[in-house]
Amino acid sequence: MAGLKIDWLAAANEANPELNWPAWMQAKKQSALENLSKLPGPHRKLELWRYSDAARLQKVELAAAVNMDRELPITEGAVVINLTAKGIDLSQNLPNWVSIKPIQELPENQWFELNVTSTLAKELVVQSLNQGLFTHGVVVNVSAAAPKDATVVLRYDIAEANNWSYLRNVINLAADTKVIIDEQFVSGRINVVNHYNVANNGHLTRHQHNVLESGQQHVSLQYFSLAEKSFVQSQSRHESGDLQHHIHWVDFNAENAEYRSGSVNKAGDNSHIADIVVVNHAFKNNVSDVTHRSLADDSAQIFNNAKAVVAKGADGSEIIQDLKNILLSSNAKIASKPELEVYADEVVAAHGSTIGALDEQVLFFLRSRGIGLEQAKAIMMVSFEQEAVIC
Amino acid sequence: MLEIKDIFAKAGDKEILKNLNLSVKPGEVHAIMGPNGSGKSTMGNLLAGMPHVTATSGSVTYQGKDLLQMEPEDRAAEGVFLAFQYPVEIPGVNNMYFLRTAYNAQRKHRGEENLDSASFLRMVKEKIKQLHMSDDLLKRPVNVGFSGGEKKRNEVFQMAVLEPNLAIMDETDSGLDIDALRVVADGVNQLRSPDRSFIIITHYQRLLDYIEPDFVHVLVDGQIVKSGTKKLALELEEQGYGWLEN
Repeated sequence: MAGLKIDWLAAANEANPELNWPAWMQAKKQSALENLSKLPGPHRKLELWRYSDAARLQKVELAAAVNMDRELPITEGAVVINLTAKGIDLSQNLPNWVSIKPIQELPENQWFELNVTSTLAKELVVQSLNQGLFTHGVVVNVSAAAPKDATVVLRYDIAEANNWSYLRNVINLAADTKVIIDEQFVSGRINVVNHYNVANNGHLTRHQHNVLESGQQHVSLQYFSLAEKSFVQSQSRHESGDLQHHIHWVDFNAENAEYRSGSVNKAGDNSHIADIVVVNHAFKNNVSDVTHRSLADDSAQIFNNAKAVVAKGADGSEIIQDLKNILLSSNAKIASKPELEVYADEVVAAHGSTIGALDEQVLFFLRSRGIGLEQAKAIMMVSFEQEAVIC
Repeated sequence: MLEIKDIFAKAGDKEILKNLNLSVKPGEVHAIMGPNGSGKSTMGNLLAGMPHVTATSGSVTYQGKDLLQMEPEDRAAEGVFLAFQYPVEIPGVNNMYFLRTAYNAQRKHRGEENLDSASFLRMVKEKIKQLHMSDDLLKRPVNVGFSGGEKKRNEVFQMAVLEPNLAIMDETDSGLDIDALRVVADGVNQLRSPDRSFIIITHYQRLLDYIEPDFVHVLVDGQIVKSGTKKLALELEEQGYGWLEN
């Protein structure tokens, strides 16, 4: 697939509707499209796409979806935002601790740009495409008045199965705010970019639930800006689908903040899943702790990548990268890459990666108690996943 | 109940058992002793169906059936239980869930209905009380964070819940202090019955102070070289195995 080109502008001309949006936002979109015209599409020479079949992004028609119940439980009292093909649908009156506006009402000073001096940022072509083509999304402002267990649910329910939908959301946590954000994939072929902006002492618990049907595709960039003493714990579950490509990009913008993420990836059939976490430790005394557990079966492929860049002077940074993987068939492939790029002098860092099979001793133990082979394997997989369940 | 006849078996590529013969009748307790590497654990693993332990010749008949032709889970459902020398840890799976899954899988094999959660909970709480163990054990992930003694006690507890016909205890006494040894031995003694047999693999005579065996066998280089009563274990304690190896 090396050298694969995608005709971005043609796609843009076809897909970008006339939007009566602020001039500055239109300019951002136009700029992204112009930038894209100079770039190749995603291909295997790009680090972020090395282990995924990017050509699948161009499939005209995806395999017919089998109707499966993907309604997930929603916490009682949660604010539910449905992002549908028609736009935003709010299911209830909003409590006083949250405000929700359409993305076109985003103040210009809240727009975010990735640090493009990073080599990897230049590879975010699919995310740049999102900037050029996003048609709707929300700005969620959560105030410090949010009660204990305050929860906002973002449901992606775009009925359109074959055409890409481009969504962009900004979630702002005020200082001293604590909130839970649940992202739930329900339907659609979605390219989503979310910006989580966590102010001082903000506390974000985030869940991303992407269980896809065999023919579905989903691409996402989750961008976290962390202010002083803020705390983010992020739990992801990526299962199945034709193609899933998820990037978590974390920028520490001050000191004494903490980012923890746990991620479970399960791929079968011919599914490709990429789960990439990039953490930029630009300031002192920040902590990042990334745990991935991945299982690949049949002819599936999974790419796990946890990268931490510690800038010069960002002393006192602590980094843990723990990537463990299990291959369930001889045709499945997993690439697992913990990466540390450290320019500071005093850093505590630990990283590890393993790829293996299910432990035969444990399998035998379970079977010796009367549990059949398939059920024993299922129990072991649950056990393995649990290590990456952090919240 | 169990007839091991002329068994030769390999663990991986290595031949370990060489013409092993043993007959166990219902209600009997057989102790298997022997030096390191003599094949004691291989025998237990062969009976329970560990995949990399394979018989190259001979037969094992259990309750009239060819045991070696059965999958490990089928052997368990037919009443064979192996208490592991090194019990494994299963993070994220609590003992209660694990045991109920095992219990109901065995019931299903026998064509019985699943036991519902409430009835199962009542049953295991009664069992754990009888064994003088803490019911805290039920909530914890299988063997995770357990001390060596707790792991062995958990094996005995599993045995009590699953009620096997033939229990093989593979060095269940190893690594136990004297109090833990008593708890484990009490558990085994409570489970003794006229239709339940035990094969107790051990290095030391001390376990047999608490669990009275009907027979003691000495396994050397893959075969039983001497059989006797508990008195034989006392002789081994005094003289070691050297006199039997020559």
